[in-house]
Amino acid sequence: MLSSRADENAAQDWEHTMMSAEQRAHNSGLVRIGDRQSLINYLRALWQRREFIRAYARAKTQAGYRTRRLGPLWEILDPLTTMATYWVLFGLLLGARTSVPNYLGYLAVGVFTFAIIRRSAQSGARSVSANRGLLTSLPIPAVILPTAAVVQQVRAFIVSLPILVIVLVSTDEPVTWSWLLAPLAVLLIIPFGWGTALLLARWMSHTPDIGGVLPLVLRLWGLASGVMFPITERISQLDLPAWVEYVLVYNPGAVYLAVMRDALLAGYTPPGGIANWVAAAVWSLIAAIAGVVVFWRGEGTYGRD
Amino acid sequence: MDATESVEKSTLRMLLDDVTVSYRVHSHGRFVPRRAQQVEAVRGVSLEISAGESVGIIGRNGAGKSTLLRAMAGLVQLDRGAVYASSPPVLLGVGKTLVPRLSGRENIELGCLALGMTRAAVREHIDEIIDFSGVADHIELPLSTYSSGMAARLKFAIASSVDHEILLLDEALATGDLDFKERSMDRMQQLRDRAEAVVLVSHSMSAIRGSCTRVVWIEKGRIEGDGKPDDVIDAYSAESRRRRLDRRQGHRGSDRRSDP
Repeated sequence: MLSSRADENAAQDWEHTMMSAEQRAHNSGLVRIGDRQSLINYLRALWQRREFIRAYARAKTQAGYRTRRLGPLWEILDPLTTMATYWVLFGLLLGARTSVPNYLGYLAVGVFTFAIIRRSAQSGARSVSANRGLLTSLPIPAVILPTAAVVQQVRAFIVSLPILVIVLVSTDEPVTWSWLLAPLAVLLIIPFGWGTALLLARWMSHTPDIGGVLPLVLRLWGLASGVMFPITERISQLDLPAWVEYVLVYNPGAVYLAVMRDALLAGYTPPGGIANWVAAAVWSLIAAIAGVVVFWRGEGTYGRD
Repeated sequence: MDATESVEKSTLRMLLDDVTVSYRVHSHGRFVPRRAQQVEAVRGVSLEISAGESVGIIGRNGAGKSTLLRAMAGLVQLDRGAVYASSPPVLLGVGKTLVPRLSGRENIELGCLALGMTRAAVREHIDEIIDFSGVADHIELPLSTYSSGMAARLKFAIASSVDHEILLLDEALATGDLDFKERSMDRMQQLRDRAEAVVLVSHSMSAIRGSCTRVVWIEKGRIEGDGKPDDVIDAYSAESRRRRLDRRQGHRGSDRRSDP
């Protein structure tokens, strides 16, 4: 009886002191520090730092060039060497050359397009865990880092774009009105890459081990999505359950490659047809929303040692 | 009652209520990670800071000073308690943070943009900031080539170029040569005149005495002393002396068994 009375008193005292600190802070016009902002304010803070994002992405790119002798040439050499490797491996040795009318064009669109996704995912994933110091020394929301990583990769894609056009034109690919759809396809890929970068960045910030398997997983994803050759045609000969083919055709990687090829290659119709454009928009929306929400919910944990 | 409330409204800038921070330390076994251990760095610190105050935080290495400062800036998750402030406090730490691969100039640009400057303002002030930092000769080199003192100076130059209502400084005054120290003391004075509240962590008692109106002594994550600079620093120095003496006597007593 006596002890419960004492407990009650203690509880009341505790409540009183808690109340008074919070109340006093409130009365003095103070706000609580470290509380997660609302999602709207979080996105607003991101938008307010757009100048920083642009400067950071540009500076990172420049720094990357400075460490290599051929500098910005690598923006072109990287996709070209990848293409050459795939052409020999899959086109020549495995005979994929004959599976589509313009194999070199098919390969070029695949490599250049998937590079946006692959490189966004890879550098986005690293962006937070590799730049903890920046988060603790500058008053910026962590979402800036994966966002800047994606901006950097989109810039790289734009720089390398003339090479893609040159490859297409030199392989006698006709320049048609449907090429105007290509920018739309890229606009759908960017939010997907951003969402993926955000999801992976949060994941990798507390499980750095992901960095070890990510490059392999991304290359396999590219293979399964048909970067190197139309994989669904091979799979359909294997007599696998229908859902396997369904997953292969409508996984985001395959969908984004399909819409780009739909726009740029006259002699190739990807499986799925117009449904690819719908799927591309849906995947963009899902990835961007999931990425932002998941990353935002982890805000406050990123700067920790 | 109303009178005291309105007074409070105009003077209270920061309120720490029972702030407790612990770190999880993962101890690894030979092959697999073992379970995490909790280490409490700050244990139930309550503090009120008013406008115009400049508070020095002193204490031994590992006492929890820097963690407390990071908690004030909202950079660590609290296990218990809360930090309230009139506007988001800005923490100026030292060390080779920012972006090591980028040049000093690029780091200044980025830092100023992050602190809310416009591009035009950055262009206008950048020469002044480079000048103040005293690393003009190395400004085009990557930050990774800087000594830690140079990096700290650059960072202090960036951070102090913008006005802040609440400013948190970690050892900023203890870096650099004598010339820079004097200039940064002047800059500190200016900042204090403009800023409404300053909190400074330092091991330099002369820096604390020279620039603080109040001193808080932290020991094992708890407040050990809080008051006028001279009083608290004297008590802290006496305690440090006593500890040194104890250790020397302890060594003599325990022979040399505990030495590696």
